[in-house]
Amino acid sequence: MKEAVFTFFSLFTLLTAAGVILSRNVIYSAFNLVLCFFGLATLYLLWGATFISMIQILIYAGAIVVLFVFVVMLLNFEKPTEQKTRLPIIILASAGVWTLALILLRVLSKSLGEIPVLETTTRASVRTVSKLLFSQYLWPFEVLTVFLLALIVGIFVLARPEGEEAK
Amino acid sequence: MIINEFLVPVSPVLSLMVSAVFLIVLETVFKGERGQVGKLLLALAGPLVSIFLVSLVIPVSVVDSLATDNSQLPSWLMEFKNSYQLDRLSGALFLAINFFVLLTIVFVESFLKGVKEKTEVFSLLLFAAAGMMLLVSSGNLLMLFMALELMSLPTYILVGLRKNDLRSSEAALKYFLYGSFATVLLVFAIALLYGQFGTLQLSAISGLFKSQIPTGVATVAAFGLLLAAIGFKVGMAPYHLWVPDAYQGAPTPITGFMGSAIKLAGFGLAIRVFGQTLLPLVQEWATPLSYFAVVTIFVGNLAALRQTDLKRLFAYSSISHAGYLFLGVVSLGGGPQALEPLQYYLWIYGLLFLGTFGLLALVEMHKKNLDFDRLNGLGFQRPVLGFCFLLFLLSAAGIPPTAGFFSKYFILIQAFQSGQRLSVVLAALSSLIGVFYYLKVISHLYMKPAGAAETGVPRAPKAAFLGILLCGLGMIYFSLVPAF
Repeated sequence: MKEAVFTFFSLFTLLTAAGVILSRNVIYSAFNLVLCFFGLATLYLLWGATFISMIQILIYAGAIVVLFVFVVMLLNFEKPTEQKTRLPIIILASAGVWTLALILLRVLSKSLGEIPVLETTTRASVRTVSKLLFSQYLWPFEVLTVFLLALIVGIFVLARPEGEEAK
Repeated sequence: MIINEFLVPVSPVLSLMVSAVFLIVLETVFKGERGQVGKLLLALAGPLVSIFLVSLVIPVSVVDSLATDNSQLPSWLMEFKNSYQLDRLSGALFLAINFFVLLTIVFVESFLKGVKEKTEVFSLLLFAAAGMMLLVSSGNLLMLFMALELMSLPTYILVGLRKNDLRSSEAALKYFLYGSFATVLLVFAIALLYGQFGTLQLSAISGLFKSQIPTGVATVAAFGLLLAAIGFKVGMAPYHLWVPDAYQGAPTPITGFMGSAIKLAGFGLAIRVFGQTLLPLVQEWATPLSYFAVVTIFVGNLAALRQTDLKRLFAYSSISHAGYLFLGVVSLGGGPQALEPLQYYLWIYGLLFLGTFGLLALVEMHKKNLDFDRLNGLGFQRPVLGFCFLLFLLSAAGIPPTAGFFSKYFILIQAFQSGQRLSVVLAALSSLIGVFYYLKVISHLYMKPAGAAETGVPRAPKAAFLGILLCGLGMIYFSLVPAF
């Protein structure tokens, strides 16, 4: 049963991910992205990572896609113009893609059995994650706060229009 | 306990962070041009205090780390001790990073006249430097990732500082896209390693390699990804495409920072990964990686031949130097004595790159374009600066009495002793190609008549003059004391 659900949702995720790239309309892409994130969240849920899956929905499907849609709305995209792709580029690109695909296939077929599966004893719930953050991983967590502060300063530098007097 | 086990070891990094944060506070109180001297002093105080603290902390900690009992510590302190390696290598690299940041702050203050947000630029520089220090001392994959991000993101912003300049924006976008791609590769590598070994500790992974040689595809893939991420960050050959554009588009003092400090931090990471974690597997990776380094040297030198813009020229030259440095990393397989030539090379290369870009910033102060003719007659017009430039160029080319010759020589000797004979021969041959374009620049300095006075090179601001002079003196010092 679990296998079937897993297969269904991984296929669903892959298909919607393909939809993000392939659809011509930017809005359709954005909505495919939402579906893709929901599919991923379900996969996380199947592994017992409830916290990650909730975060996935909240942050990615919620905040980030909303930002995408806003950008699309503000920029007001025109219909995409058809671009002629030259033949050599098509040949080169498909050669690259097929080589990579063959390598991947070979690697996967050789190594699927080799990769050890780590048994997880604890469920990645909010409680365990926050316990780890405030005990074992306190120092990286503090560095993260410094990092965010640096980013805020950086965004201020980038967003201020050039030539504006300091008020 | 917290003071001794945490605050004292981490104080060199903290002093940079504190100074960066107080700069922002100062900017909210004294806005704009007011109190510029105070802000500058605060910005300089961070690295200076940090240098002082490094010289206090490192000798103690190197002795101390052998005999301490960790069992009484709370878990976060244990984790901190594992993720922050305070050894001699960290100490040397901390000093270099602080020194390069000091010089960069001086050049930014002197040459970035049009930029209103100078305080924020200082603060971003200091944050990036703190990230570098955490990166070169990281002993844990999680910390390594955080430090890499803390180093990279402020730099992307600094590259795009000139918002009305299309080149600068293009450079920032390119650097950001390539850089974040490298980060993705790194995260993927970390995920694969963690999935395989169940630990983030570099020393633990290294210990596992000692007991058994892993053959799994996942390990190979993980280290391929790590190599690609490091290659992106330091600009190795197949991953170097962003380097010329980013180095050309960035404001010139910032380019100096990228070429010296960031490259140094990238190689610090390479030493931690290849020279320490992967050392048990050295037979597997030494020869392929040495060819990788040789290809980088050739790509950099050959592409530099065709450049007409000075910034692009030195960008390609920095790619070839990355190749030599990587050869130094490869020669770590021969034993830990290869570490010293590598540090020596990093110091010399960083100084000459910073000095060169300080000079280029001076040349483009009044007129933006930077083709070779802008340097005509500089050697006689500004004798001291011209001589410094001569030193940098001779060093970069590796002409015998200069520091650059010794650094290249030591690296090649170590690589030869570790068994990379063919690569050493090819690298030495390739440095001959390099001589050609460095001499071309020198010929413009000394053998062409100077242009009209208004197109010439302006008199350098005092602080910048001192900074460039310091780089020049550093080159002389390192050539007189050719050992580290």
